[in-house]
Amino acid sequence: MKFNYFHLMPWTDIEETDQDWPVANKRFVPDRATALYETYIDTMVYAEECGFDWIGCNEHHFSPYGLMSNCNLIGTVLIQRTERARIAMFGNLVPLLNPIRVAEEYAMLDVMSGGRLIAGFMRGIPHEYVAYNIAPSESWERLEEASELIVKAWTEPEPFGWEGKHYKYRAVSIWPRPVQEPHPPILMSASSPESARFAARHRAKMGMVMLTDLEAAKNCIRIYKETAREHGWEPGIDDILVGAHTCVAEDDEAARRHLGGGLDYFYHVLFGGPRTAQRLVIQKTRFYEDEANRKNLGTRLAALRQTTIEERIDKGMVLCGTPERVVEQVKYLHRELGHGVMNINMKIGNISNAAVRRSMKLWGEHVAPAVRDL
Amino acid sequence: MKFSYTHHMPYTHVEEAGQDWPVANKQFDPERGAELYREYIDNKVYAEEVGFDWIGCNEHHMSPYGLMPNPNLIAAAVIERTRTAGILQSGNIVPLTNPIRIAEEYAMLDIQSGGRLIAGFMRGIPHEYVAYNVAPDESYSRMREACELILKCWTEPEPFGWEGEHYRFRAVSIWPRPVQQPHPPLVMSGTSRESATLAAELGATMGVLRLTSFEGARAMMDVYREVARCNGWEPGPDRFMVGMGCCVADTKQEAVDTMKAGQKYFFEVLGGGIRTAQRLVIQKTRYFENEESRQNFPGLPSKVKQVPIEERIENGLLLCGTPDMVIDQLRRVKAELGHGRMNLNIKIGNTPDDAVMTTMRHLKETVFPAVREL
Repeated sequence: MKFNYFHLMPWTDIEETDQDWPVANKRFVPDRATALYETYIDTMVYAEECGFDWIGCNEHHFSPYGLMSNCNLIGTVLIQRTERARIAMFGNLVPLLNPIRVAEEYAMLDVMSGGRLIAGFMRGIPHEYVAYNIAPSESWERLEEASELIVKAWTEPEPFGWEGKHYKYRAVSIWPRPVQEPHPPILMSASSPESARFAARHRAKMGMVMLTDLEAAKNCIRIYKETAREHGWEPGIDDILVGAHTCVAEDDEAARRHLGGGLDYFYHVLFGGPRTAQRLVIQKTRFYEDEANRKNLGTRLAALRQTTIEERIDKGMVLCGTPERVVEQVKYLHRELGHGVMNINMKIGNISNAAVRRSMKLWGEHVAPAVRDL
Repeated sequence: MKFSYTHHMPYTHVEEAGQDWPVANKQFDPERGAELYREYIDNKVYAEEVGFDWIGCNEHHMSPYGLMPNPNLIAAAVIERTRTAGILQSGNIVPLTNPIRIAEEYAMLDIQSGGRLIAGFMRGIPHEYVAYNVAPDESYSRMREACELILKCWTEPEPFGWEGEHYRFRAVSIWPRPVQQPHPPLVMSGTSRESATLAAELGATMGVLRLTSFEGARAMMDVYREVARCNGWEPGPDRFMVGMGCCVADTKQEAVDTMKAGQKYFFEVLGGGIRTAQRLVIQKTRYFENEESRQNFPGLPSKVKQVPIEERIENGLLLCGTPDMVIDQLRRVKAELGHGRMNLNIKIGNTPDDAVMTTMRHLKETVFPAVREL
């Protein structure tokens, strides 16, 4: 099994819950942020030393939820300071951006890293569409067309023109082009049946970054595999990524305390603004193609907010406890889901950076060696 | 005198001259590309040690001319490996990109560097508009609106909406916002009357990025001063940055030979495809607001290429020779223009890395100490 170290780079110096969105950036204190960036970047670099195979960044806008509006900038920084780890971009939010630009930036990362890029083609969470003023109802068809265009930009050796529905270019030939052949591996979100099908159709790795329901996850994996076969390919276990909030500590009690506090902050403070905006987009647009999906998200979010840490642990939704406990939890998830990549997010909400580092160290020394061969 | 190190990161393994645009990227070898990125980023990092005050990146698309389609990725890498130098982004090409995205990325760089960003608001060279399919006719009106919007993103503490001619956003509040107050210093191009005017209006440092005549540069500096005075302030020498090619060697002949070879490659190979595309845009669109600006455009092939190197050195438009000669040449430019900043381009065309390093070493040891006080 392989492991991705995932980091949102949240801003954790505010306390108000349930804010409007966008969250007013007067609450952001730039003088403190330089040191925070340094800490976060050091943490991500340290992940390589702790045995993580990938280091993951992602794109968010207009809120303290994450400070990587363009995660590719953080990507190049990590490339300067790491040797082996894959650089996994869980952004970019493809429908919001110029696909040529995405192709160019990913090519830069791939060349600079000597072929370590895993290229996320993400659709994004609904409110990001408000941030960049793109119609949420166009999200799927933009993602579809943009994905095709990006792959074309990576693989076509001669200049080509593009006359699509959403994108038009007279002549394209990007410099640089990527080093990986035929192109960098693509990662797509697959937390719903429709996105699982979409990922399979595009021969992308599937990602469920944050596990919320084991049965639903199984269903998505099944749909992904079935759709892949219908399209003439067989996903490997490395193509299936499943994620859980994680905290490893010397004793169960400490782990539970850290993660419980962090989750509380995550759902009540960091997620406050985005929730307001999401309701708006989900209610008023065709971001979801069917009613079931729309309801599903609403219920999921509401349920998540209420669930206690004990319930989460019992249901296998988080990895939390001593190294031994966490090894068991990882094994359990692997038995249930059969995935090959685990997405490990340790900076949950305002968990202290010292606790995060401790968690990483224990992971590297005790957990990773015991589950690597799963 | 303050010095900025500019490096457009050319791809130097293409041999064929006078190509169409976009240049087919089958000529890009990703393995060699990876080596160049390493070498070039090392050069930029070394510039701090040499004594450059600013280190510059810039944006170009779809040709071997420069490998930074998003220069902010390179800046993030350079920031990570430097401590004091200003980071001069003499891209981004503002009218081609979502202004919100630029505001966000620049804010990230400013935070990451602890306030070392010098934010370039560039209009770009004409053919980049073909690359991103933005109407060149709209370049100035996009430029003006986008600059205003970016500054608003940086300085407005509460969420705001934007209903402009080219850009519309329902609610904006970027995270992170920059550390420098009231916002990062700006650099803008001042190669035409229109751009010099806009630079002065926004209080940006004006860059004559490639010096083609003293008279022309002085005229633009006068435009800038006049506009500044009308707005009630007097620009100091630091507000003017003059760009020149630079090659220093132990003997004059060696420097001239190196410069000649580099320039030949620059104009014939790197500039080839771009020239084709530029002619198209310059002829067929209203990229320039009037005929005078069109004629003065330094990118016009007739402007630069034909003048022999010896004559350009003689005319004071190139820095080339032994350290003592270059010191004299710098004194002369300073006496002619009275500016406070120089932007030196040392990697001209395919100038080999050891020649680039020789120039940088001479600058460090002999030239800079002699001209600092100018």
